[in-house]
Amino acid sequence: MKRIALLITGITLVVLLIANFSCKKKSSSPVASSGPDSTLINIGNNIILPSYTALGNAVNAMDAAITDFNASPDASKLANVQTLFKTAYLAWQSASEYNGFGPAMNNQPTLAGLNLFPATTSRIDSNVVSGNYDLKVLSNATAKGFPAMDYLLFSAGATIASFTTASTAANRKQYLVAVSADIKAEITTVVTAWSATGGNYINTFVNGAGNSISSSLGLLINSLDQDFEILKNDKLGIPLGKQPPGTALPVLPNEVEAYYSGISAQLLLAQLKAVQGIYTAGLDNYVVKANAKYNGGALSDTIKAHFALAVSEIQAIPDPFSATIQSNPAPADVAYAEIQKIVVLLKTDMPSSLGVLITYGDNDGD
Amino acid sequence: MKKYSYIPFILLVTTFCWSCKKDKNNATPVIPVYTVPTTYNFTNVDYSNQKKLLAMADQVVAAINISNSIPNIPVSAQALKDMFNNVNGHFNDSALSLNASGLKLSDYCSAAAKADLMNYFDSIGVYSQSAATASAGVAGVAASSVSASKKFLLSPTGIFYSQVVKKTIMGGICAYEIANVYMADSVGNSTDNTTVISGSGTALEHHWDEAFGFFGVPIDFPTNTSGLKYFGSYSNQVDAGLHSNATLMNAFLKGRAAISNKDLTTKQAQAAIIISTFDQLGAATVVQEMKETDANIEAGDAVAAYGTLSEALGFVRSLKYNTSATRVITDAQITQLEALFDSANPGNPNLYNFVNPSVNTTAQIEAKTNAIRQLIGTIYGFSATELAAL
Repeated sequence: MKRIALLITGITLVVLLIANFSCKKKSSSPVASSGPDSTLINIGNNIILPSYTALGNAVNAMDAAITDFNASPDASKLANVQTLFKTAYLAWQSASEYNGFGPAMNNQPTLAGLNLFPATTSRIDSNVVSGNYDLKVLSNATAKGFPAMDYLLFSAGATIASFTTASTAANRKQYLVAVSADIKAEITTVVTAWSATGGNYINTFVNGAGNSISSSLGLLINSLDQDFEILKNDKLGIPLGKQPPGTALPVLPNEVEAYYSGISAQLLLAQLKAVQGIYTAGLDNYVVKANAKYNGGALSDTIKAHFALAVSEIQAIPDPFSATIQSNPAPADVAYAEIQKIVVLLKTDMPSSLGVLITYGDNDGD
Repeated sequence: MKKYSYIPFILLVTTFCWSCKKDKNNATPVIPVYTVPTTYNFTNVDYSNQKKLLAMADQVVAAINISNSIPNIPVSAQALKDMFNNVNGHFNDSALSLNASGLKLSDYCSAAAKADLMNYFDSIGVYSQSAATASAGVAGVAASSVSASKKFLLSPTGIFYSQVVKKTIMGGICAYEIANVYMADSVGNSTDNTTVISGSGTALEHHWDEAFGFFGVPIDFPTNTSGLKYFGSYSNQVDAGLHSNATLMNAFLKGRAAISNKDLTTKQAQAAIIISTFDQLGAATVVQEMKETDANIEAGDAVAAYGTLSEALGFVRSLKYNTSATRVITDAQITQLEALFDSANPGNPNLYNFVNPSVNTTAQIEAKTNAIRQLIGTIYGFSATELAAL
């Protein structure tokens, strides 16, 4: 008994010493509090800017091909437009991570509006028929962007005849042009705003030191996590009938991203790899410096291991996802479970080890 | 042997005394020495009535939510009023025995909020009879475009009364009772703090505990954030900007310890902190709903936006139920704020004017949510960074 009391006394003394230390400004934060930060420079210059450049180039190429197609539509030009659309949609997956802050967020409408799926196809059809629409109004929010392109270029009705001989051919071509121009304009604005020779947000980004909610790290992690939750909830969970959780729901194959082109799993993989790439471009260093632990091991090793596992599990999902979701949902179920784990690691463990606050809500209506 | 086991605790207490404050030059008056626990774990705590009242509130809102259905399901206004007054046994009884509890939400409600709630119940009774799809000028039910299983009974002006009622209960009962009734007691030193009743402590202790019960958090909040209800949930949602979780919990803990130790100065100071923080929290929730509205708009979901705007409207109107002399926002400013929802119909906004999907761009709608955000920021002195984090 006495020994235990002494032991407690000893522990208390240690606690007391630690408590005294803790009065100082926390020196344990792994994040530089001022000046350009080498991690931010790396992520900004070697990840974000190239991703935006690739996206800008891809949508420019797509838009030019559409202009050409529109002037003299034929089957081979349609195939070319379809290919370039897929390239652009893939490039989007490496840029959507930054939708939650900076130029993409300040853009009006916010850049994330280019990928609201599923598209409201009835609205697209009625816009095509009427030929009279404003893509900026709210009722057209799901009649534009990549999902609208996906429908216009790949739905069963998207034959070459629908662009040449059908009664609505002229209107359909015009709508394709309008949607593409809107995508190009919004992305160009954001790419320019990031560029050192344009709005130079890259400079703001690399100098936004610290871990406060307005620091670049705080903004990046919130944006990255929010985007990753779109992957978990909208791209996987809802189609698989897992959202909202706790209720048995039917699978919803037509709620997948890229339903008509059928490249959903490819897009999932591209987004997952982009998030993994951002993590290994420097967030991992912060987590290592913070000496964060997870179940006795290093948190960073845990995160990396789960990323690697998720990549192989997403690779195991056959496209078109909308079909395999019904015939063979097991691989997607496995991947979804893994992605859920990563969300917890990226949204709870990583931010708390870095002293970053998650400020976006779940928007559950209460 | 037993003696020694006290040593660690003495040391622990000493640790607290040393902790992080800059020493204030020894001019310390004699204050009772006592330890403030880190969880709401005091002797003689009983806020079971508040748990029952919040359970009743849950059931009132659940009864209203039956109307969010296609085809429509009418809801009786009289049944809602009966629930509010706890007559005719409308509650689903559980271990809480709500019907026989003798408790009535109406007894805990600000007079102004009660009048508003009666009107809201009547509106729900009328609008829930409509079999139409909701649209501008037509009451009925509409579904979220993002999540079709989420349905909303909307008034002809786009008001989702279910949420207006819920927010009115929060403002007119929870916040009102905390800031205007129980904490006012503590500020005024008027309630007995001598006679201890076993199980519920002194009258003042009991009032303090009941106030805590209306907060809607677990005893180890904010370490534990599971099961948050009403303002507990909202405090957590706006915590990044307002830091209300720790502020409120620490004040509740410190004040309760002070009451039990007859430290009246500290008790009054903590009561003032709670009153002031609840005032700010009420304003912060409006900003939070603007953030949710923006998210709904950016997702192209006008129907869900009518829902979050209705939540905001309920919160704005709730600000006036707080009659504390220290309330920051004036009646005129509340009117000004409500007018920002629809300048053409101040006081009775038509949310289809706020969000008109076939005419408005997201930029136009977000300019309106931003005007509301900015006005609250100006009135309450929230910085741009704080506003962004609410």
